[in-house]
Amino acid sequence: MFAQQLMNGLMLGGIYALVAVSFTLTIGILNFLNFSIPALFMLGGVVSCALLAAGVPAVGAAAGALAATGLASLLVERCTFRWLSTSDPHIPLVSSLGFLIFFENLVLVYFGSDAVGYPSPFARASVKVSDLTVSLPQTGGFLLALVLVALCYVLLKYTKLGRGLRSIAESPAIAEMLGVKVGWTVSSVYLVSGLLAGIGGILFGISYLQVSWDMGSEVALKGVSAMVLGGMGNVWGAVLGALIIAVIEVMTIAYLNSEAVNVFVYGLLLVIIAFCPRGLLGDRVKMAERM
Amino acid sequence: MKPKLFLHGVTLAFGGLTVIDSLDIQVMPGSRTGLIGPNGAGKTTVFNLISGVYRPNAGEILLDDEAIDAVPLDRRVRLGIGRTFQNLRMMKHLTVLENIMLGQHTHVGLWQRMLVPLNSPFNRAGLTETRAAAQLMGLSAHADLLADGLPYGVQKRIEIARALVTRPRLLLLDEPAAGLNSSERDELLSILLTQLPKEMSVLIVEHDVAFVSSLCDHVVALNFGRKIAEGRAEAVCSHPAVIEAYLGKDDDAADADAGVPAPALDETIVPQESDQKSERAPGAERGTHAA
Amino acid sequence: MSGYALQIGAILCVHVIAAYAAYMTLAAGQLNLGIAGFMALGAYGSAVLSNAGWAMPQSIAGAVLLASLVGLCVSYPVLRARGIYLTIATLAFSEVVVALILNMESLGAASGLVVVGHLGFWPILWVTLGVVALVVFLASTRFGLCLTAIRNDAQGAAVFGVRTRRIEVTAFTIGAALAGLAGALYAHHFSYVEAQRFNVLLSTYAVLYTLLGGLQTPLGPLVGAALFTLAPELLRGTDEWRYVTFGAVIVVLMLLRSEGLFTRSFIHNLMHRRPAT
Repeated sequence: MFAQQLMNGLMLGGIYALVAVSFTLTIGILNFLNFSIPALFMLGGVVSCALLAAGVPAVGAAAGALAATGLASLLVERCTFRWLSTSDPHIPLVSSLGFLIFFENLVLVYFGSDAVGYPSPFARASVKVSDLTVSLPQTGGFLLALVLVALCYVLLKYTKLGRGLRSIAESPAIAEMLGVKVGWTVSSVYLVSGLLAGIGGILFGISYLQVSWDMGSEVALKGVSAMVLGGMGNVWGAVLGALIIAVIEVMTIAYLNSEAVNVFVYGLLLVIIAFCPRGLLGDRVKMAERM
Repeated sequence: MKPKLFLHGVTLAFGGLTVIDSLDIQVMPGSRTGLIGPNGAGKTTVFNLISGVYRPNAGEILLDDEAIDAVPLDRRVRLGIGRTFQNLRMMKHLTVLENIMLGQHTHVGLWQRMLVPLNSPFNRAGLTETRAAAQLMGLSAHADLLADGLPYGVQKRIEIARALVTRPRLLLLDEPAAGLNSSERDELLSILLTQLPKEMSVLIVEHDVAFVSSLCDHVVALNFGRKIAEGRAEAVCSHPAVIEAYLGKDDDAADADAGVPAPALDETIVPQESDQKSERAPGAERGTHAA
Repeated sequence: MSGYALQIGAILCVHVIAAYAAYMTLAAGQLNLGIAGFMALGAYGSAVLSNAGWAMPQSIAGAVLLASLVGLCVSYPVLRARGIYLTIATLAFSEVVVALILNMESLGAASGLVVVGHLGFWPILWVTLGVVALVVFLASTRFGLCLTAIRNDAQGAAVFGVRTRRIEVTAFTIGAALAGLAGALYAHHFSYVEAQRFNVLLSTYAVLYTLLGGLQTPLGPLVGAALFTLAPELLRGTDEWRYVTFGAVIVVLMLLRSEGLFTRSFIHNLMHRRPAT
């Protein structure tokens, strides 16, 4: 029972991790809390669901969904960072909220307010390992999430793009002087961040077999909590935080009740911010400066 | 006579970089003391130490013979220390008059702050003082405009008016004449010469040597965070160490005041007999005290 | 006025007060997404007191006191954080409050709580006007001056002796009190409270009204809340599209008027009616 719950928690954690990394990229590099991420997550799930339902093969549906989230993310970038980077820090945040409301309600109009069954090509394929039920799509999704996060880490740490990103995180003006194409690089942050959220949405559909217009909000809040818990701006911190939060959530539902989940998750978050704002793996020096 | 302000062996280091190195500065009561030195010499840092933005790593700062190192930034103004900023710090959403009024903050009781509207008769004394300061600095025409977007010279004068209404006994002026045209500069000079109370002690950072010599009875020259010369304006300006500091090729020094936009060096600081410097080995005079 | 119009009016008033709650912290430059949590405190506090036999004014006052006390206690740890951290901390606080209520059987848990005593539109309107007057008054004092100064440049304000932490705590507490008031009025108008209503979206809307209206004047939140509560009602014909439109309007507005609709220079130009120089 416990082992089963632990595994379920880790699987859920994989999805949270994608969202948390998605948040942490824009915060760590652009210091911008992108509220449109829940909408991008939802678009990934809903668009792939609609394409699958229309008979598009799985690969095509995934590609279509990612194209939609990528475009949406670039649209958000056009209207937030690109235009507004010089002004009040609240303004891009408000714009991204505007996009959240826009996308969610757009889907609400076309899709209705009820959750829709996700026509997953894998359905509920699973194998029994002793007395554990291992869901194949969930395990695949979990591994995919880890691989993607690892790719993100490599991208940030070892590529030219990553060096550009880190120099922008220090100071966009100096990055510009050093010859970094700031506009292009920022676009790629949004794109990567949006695609991660979109993939998270698709995996959510495959794992839990339903999607809805507001599926992003709860997951995004958990993703934000995971990011803070792990330490803002730190990719592996986000993964660690996501796994912890998801396990807490699943365990609370299994052994207490579902209403108690938020008490523990957000209570923990509150304690972390008040007493250890850098989180578990946060970059000590830089975070202190940012505060 | 006891000095009004006494920096005694003050040292400040950021990380491993010593910005101010066992510096002694005395400002006598009612004196007009100038602080000169090339960009990056640490002049603005000295102001930040006196006004409490930084705490010294060693040494102490005495005001009227009492150490003020433990006094936090927001209480220093109560001790009678008023200052202006080289890189203007206007409140962009406040009008000129409101910006000046902010300087009166500590002279107003708690209940009056919460309960008296700025434009009510109960604030007449405050308004009168503010208008007088605005008129003194030639700001009456701009009084009700937002400070944001006013010309640089005007904002400069708002800074001084705002520092004056704090009713300082020690006034710190950070490059008051920088960016002013020659008539504005002469006007400012005559205001500072004639309108400041005799008993007010003034410490001025300024590049314009003519301005400093007309105003100051005592000048301290800094380079690399150390005092290199001290005495009457003419003597200091013709001191070999000062000339070397300005003409030497120590370009790396400019990093010390990071973040502060460096104003163009005013060439008038260099006296005619500048050929003296070629006879001296670089750094030979560093740390010596003239007069 | 028809019952429907009165209902909309009451909701508008609650939105206006909630927007002012968001305004108090935003005016000092910090984004508080915990408005819904304080509204829940106010709503449930007032409901419990009323159901225990208190008269309505007393129970509303008690609820406001409760919200402001909690606000004061929370503000110290929360205001240690800045920027994004503060925003997330307030959001977490709000979620904890709602989650705690959902776990308390004595407060009706998920099924909500019936509230004794009904408050009609007119008293709510008078209270709202009082709140507007209060905030306009506060903004005209040195306290208001300090809020703007802290928003523009907190360290610069501290140089002139402004105790920034105290001002921020005061603003946060007043904001909590106003949110509590909004929640209490809401509870008594609908005679029913349900914790799920006090979600992030509610806080988000309060913040949106304020930022869309503009922070530069204390009338910004009023303009924002009025416009964005009433406009969707006028767009009722296009029912399901109105929130899509709302989202698009937010984005466009932030592109065109990032300081909000109602700015000081806007008022200045309006009063002087001459081309800007």
